[in-house]
Amino acid sequence: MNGNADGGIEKLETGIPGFDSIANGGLPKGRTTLVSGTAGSAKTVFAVQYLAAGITRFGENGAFVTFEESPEDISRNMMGFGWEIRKWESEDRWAFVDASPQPREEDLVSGSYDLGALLARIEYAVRRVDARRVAVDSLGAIFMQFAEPSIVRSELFRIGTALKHMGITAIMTSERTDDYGEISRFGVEEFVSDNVILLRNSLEMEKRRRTMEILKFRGTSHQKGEFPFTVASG
Amino acid sequence: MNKLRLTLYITGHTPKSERTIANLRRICKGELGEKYEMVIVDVLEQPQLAEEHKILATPTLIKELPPPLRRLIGDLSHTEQILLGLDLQPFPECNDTGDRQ
Repeated sequence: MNGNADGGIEKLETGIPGFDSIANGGLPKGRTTLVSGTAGSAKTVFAVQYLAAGITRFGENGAFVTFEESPEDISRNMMGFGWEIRKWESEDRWAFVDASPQPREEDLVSGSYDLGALLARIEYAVRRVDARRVAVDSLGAIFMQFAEPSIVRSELFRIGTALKHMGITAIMTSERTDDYGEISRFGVEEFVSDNVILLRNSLEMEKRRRTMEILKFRGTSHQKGEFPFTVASG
Repeated sequence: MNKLRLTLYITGHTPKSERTIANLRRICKGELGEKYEMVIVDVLEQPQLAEEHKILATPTLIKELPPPLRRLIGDLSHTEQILLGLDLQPFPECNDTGDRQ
């Protein structure tokens, strides 16, 4: 469990109990880590806890980019854990970038486009609250909003590059269909492939068993294998 | 008569942005005479407006008035698709009120 003997890549202590131990100190600093799991594997909880722990334990502010649930739902759903997202928002310690699907008629597409506005909004949120941590939840949902996966893929790559330039330590969640299948849908691991964490929620002996496995951290060490964890309210 | 109110979101003054603006001006002038007002928002300069209106893609054109609100994504290179998307027919009578430009 010692945090040294690593290569050149520093770790960012997340403050998530247990995680920093199996990660030999924390997440690769200034990098993006993919957190992939099946439905119900606690990806969103992990993403929110990553920012919440930064705020409450280290005074590090965070930006949360949501492609799926609305900020209202996330704030409400996470109150049970004792995470006061609304309060942190009002104190400029937490910023939402709301890219969740809107209840409106489908946009019409004519000609070429990119996701430049999304990137500008993320950069703006990071600047506004001086964020050190960014969580993006979840990549599959943004693919559902646009018809051309190749555009989404290249724009997510551009966002990952921009976050790196800003020195942000980020996590992006993505969904997989099988606890022991391919890493994620839509081939997102092709561009956020340096660091991969898998969350599993498998059925064993008629019981749900949650585990976390760090599949890889490029250029730095981590514990190997699956580690059990629980989701418990604060 | 209701004026058409359009807002075009772009990212920086790139060749693509300029082409989109030119396409929009051409469509508006050709089909709408003076019965429109157009606002251009560069999301690099005013990201808070992109956040407020939940814009993801650029270019995005929003028709705010008259209702219903319509959103069009892309560089507006196909005039007929744009007019359809904005619920507009190319009205010949538009030219009656003003096409002096």
